[in-house]
Amino acid sequence: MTTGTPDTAAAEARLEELAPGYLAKVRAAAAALAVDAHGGGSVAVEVAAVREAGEFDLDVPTMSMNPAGSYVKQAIKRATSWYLRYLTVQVAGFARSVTSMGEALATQLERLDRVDADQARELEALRERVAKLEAAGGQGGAGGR
Amino acid sequence: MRIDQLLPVLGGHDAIAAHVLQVRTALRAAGFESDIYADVVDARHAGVRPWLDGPGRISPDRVVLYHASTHAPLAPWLVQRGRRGERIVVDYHNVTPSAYFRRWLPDAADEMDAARAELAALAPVTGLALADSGFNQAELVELDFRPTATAPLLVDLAAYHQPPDEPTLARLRRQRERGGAAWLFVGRIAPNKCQHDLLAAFAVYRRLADPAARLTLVGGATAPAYLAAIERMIDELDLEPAVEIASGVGHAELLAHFATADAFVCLSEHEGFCVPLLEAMELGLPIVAHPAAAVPETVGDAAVLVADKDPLTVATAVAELLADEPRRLALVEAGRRRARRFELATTAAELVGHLTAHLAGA
Repeated sequence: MTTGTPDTAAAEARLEELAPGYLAKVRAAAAALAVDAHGGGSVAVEVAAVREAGEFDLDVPTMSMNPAGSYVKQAIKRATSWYLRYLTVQVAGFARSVTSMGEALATQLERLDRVDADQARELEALRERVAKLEAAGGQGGAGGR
Repeated sequence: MRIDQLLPVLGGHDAIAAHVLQVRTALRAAGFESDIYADVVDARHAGVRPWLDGPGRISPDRVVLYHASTHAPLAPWLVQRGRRGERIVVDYHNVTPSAYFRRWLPDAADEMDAARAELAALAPVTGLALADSGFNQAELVELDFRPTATAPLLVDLAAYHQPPDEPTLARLRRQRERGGAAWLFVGRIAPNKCQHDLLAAFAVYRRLADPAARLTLVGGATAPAYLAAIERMIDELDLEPAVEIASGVGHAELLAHFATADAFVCLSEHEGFCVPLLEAMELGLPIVAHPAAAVPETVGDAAVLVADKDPLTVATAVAELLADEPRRLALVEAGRRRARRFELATTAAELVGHLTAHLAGA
């Protein structure tokens, strides 16, 4: 058994030269499907999950352990395909609307998160400034009397 | 003395079905009477009975060997029988954690949670719990099964030396003639098998080392939404002509895929044993794998185990292995040696030995 991480620094530099940004794109594509990404509670990932769940597969499997069962399933599939398609188009449209709404909410939440972070930083800076002013004021008062 | 096997589904091609059939052969050869009872049975398995035909009278002269791997209504029924004195041995093949399926197939995730709860309920009424691997055994111990033992899946390795499917072999050989390394992974297209990580590593490998490389994913889809996401990822990363998803592959076709591949790459995060790794070792295919779950104990010293699943790490590991012929050959040889440990005669004797010792102790 061989374990350990091969030296990838040179390979990374070469890949970046060959195809700038490709490694980042590949890593992002894999991360989006990882189970950890879903567990992270990200709104964007949840919306992506809704989008995936909203894509319906109309090609219903007709395999069966019983050979006769397969023929029966194929016949049912053919007989009901027009009906399923009619319903699926509407449900898929609804899913797309839900996803769009989710994406809009996710964008708005991200914007609010950024504003929140900016304000938190601003507040922290103000606190530090007040603390410094109070310290300076206290020293000045003692020295003036 | 009877040892009857009970399981929810006896499928056509899967590893558990093959194991159950081999267990019956081994038990009968050891002098036990033995039949198989299943809820759903593939039409190819003559002589397997519906489980409702099986119960009969609870008898001290019969042991029920229950194969646990999925949610099944017969598990609570078996618990009731156990409370009334039925002698039960559990053979645990692992249940995939539901977290892997919650996003893609919520109903299946619920069933996996139910399967784990059913397994836990069996612990107090089970006389012996067997597991395919130490990894599975640790889960049994955590659920308070006592005593426990490891008994690998019974796999007839001789069956892997039959002739491969000729048309498939010819098609894959024509592809080989066009150059490029062939990566292979065998396993259901499922979130825990992490085909998305394989695609990522393969994409980097093509850009970095071998633009003509090909990847074949052999296996049917468990979660259609995950399969659709995999197909979209293939498009996004411009891998369309280089990746083949082969579902519904029969045994002879599978042999053709193994015969024409250069490396078996497995980035799965959850495996209770992983028979395809054993197949790769038996058929002389070097393995690069992520050391998760039971993977390290199945491959032993016969694989390159990558420290992380970053696409660059995996791509570099495969490139280095395929560029170093002595190292590749040494790994192939180590794989063949490792496969000997899982020869049918050895594993069947182990399993029968555990059962015999249990019955002698009782």
